[in-house]
This record gives sequence, C-alpha cells and structure tokens, in this order.
Amino acid sequence: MLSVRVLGDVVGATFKDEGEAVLFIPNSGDSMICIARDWLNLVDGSVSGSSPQDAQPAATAAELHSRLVHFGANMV
Amino acid sequence: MGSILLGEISAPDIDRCLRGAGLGLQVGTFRCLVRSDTGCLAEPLRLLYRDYPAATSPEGFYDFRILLKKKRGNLWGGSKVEFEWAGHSPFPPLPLAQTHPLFEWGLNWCVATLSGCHTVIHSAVVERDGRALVMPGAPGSGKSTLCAALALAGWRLLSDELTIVSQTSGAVEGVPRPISLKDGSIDIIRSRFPAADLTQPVVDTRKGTIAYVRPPAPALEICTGADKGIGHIVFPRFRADAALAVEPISHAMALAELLENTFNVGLLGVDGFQSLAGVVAQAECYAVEYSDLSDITAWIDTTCKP
Repeated sequence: MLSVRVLGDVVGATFKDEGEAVLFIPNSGDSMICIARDWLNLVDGSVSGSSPQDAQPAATAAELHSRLVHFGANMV
Repeated sequence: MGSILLGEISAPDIDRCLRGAGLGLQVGTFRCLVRSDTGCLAEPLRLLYRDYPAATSPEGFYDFRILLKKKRGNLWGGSKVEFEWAGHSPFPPLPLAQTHPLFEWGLNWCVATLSGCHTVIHSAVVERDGRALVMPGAPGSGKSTLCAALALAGWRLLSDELTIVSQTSGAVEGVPRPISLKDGSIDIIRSRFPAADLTQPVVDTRKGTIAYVRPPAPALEICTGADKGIGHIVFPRFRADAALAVEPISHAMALAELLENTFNVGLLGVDGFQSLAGVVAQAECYAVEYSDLSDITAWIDTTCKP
C-alpha cells in the first residue's frame, strides 16, 4: 500500500495504484508532489523519459530534478 | 486534579482563584494553571469548561502556567490584556474585551508547542467508534462550523483546531476545547442547535466577530482519543450557494495537503514522515465543497463509517 524511499536528503512516499509521489525534506519541512514513476526512476538511478500529460500539475522528471536541486537536496 | 468540576464553582469564586494562586484546569491530558487580574475570564470559563476537572487550591505539576494580565491603557487607548506563558508573551496585547479569545488562542499555542513529539496538524477532528475524522482547512473553509455541527449531533469532539497524531501508534489524541465560531457561522449554529451553549460574541477581533461553543459533555467522558487512528480525511470548502460536490482524492494529494497544515513539519524526521504517510494510507480521503451544513453532515454520516 505504501512505499517510503530515501534519496540523499529527500524522503518520498508512493501509494499503491497511485501515480503521484510526495517528497519531503526532513528538517526544512519542504515538500512537493511529483509523478511517482519519475521519483522511483530517480531513486533507482534511471532518470529518463517524459511524464504523462494527464498527471499535471505534478512535476515532470526534468522539473523534479531541478526542483530537488532547488530544494538544496543532496542527491549524491 | 481534584474531583470538582468547574461548573460547580461560582463565577466570583473562580475570579478569586484567578486573581490569587490560580485556577487549575484539566484539559485532555494537560494540566493548566490559569491566573488573571482582568475580571473578564471567570464567566466564559465557567460556561465553556463547566464539565472539566478543576482545582481551586492548585498544587503539584502543571504543564502550563498561564497568566493573562491587565495592562493599563494610555492616552490613546483603553486597558489591554497580555498573555504570558513561562515568561514569554508570544502575542501582542489585545483590548481587554478580548481576554477570553486570547486565552483560547494562547492555550492552542501552548498545546501545539508541548505536543511536539507528536505530529500536530492544523485541523478539526471528531471521532466515532474509535476512528477519527480529520478536517483540515484554511481559515474560511468552514471546518470549525462543520466540526461544531458534527460535535453537537453526536460525533465526539477531539479538537476543532489541532489534530495530534502519535508517531508511534497513529492514534489521535483528544484535547477537546470550546469550538471557535466566526461571523455568520455563529447564527447558523445558534439557530440549528438552540440548546447549545455559546458565549456572547466578541466583535472586532483579528478574526472578526467570534463566539465559542461549549464542548458537548461526551467529549470529556472518555479521556482517550481515537485509538484506531484516522479513518477519513475530509478537506471541506465552504462556498456560498454551492451544491454539495464530493471528490475522492489520492493519498498522495492528501498527504501533501496535510504536510502543508502540519505545525511541526520541520521537526518530522524520516520516521515522522513515514508515520504520517502510513496514517494517511489507512484513510479514505475527500475534498468536499458545500454551502448547506445539512448536506455535508448527512454525507459524512453516510460515508464516514468505521
């Protein structure tokens, strides 16, 4: 039902059968919603592809990457 | 706390306690000691907290030692009141007529501050059969009005302002307090529930005209909260003349919204986030637009079952 993964400073939650993920940075309290597949690809080290149009306003893979950097997230 | 209830003490005696060593009040799991020289607090406290355990000879440990002290006016204004807890005055002084609202706002702040080991969400919450119904919402969304309508119609009030979720068990703690109503919602609740006890409206506060509803006694009969956790999360939105519109929302969307409404979000570590996400995963989540209280309370009674 729920999967929580950690990437650097970012922790993300995905829910079964849902297309969105919630990302969160502990300590700062910043959060955002993005496309679950893009988050999982990022966690698994394979950032690529575009996102479904119907998932707006969640972030696309590229937006996700840049917004995570904007968060100040250490993804290394 | 002693076995006496506040309603068993006369208003003059309450005032004497407030002006002296203080009045002890048991609010949920919190022990509060209140002092005030304003002369404006005894009546509303007696009305709203009449079923709460109280102490007129306070001794022992108190979570909060609150002081509402009168500040003499100057050439340009009348007397004011200042809220103080542990030597801190987090709010600017307010007109003396706002002594009671300032007490309630200040106590909210105290409870939120001292509940930091839990997840504290800005949200109304009621309970039925051990399951909590959480209703987050921005000011004006109608969450307190809806909370009052549900609490006065049989749901057990846990809080109209703060949802406190255990990070270990997911249970929701009950800190039932008077329900704050603003402007038009005062008359709506008064006409819908003529037997309910409301304070006299206080005008020109920073939130408009406000009045408080006494929590129904069942809210205080059980000291526990919602042991089975959160069953439903409903994001209400009041819009004049709107027909009832219900939209199921994803757990991800609900979690993101809850994070926006969480006071101590910056203190949530990975475990805290995981705990909150786990709580949301067990709940059914909806966004509901409404204008008629009867419509939305009927929908809730039908939908939000254990």
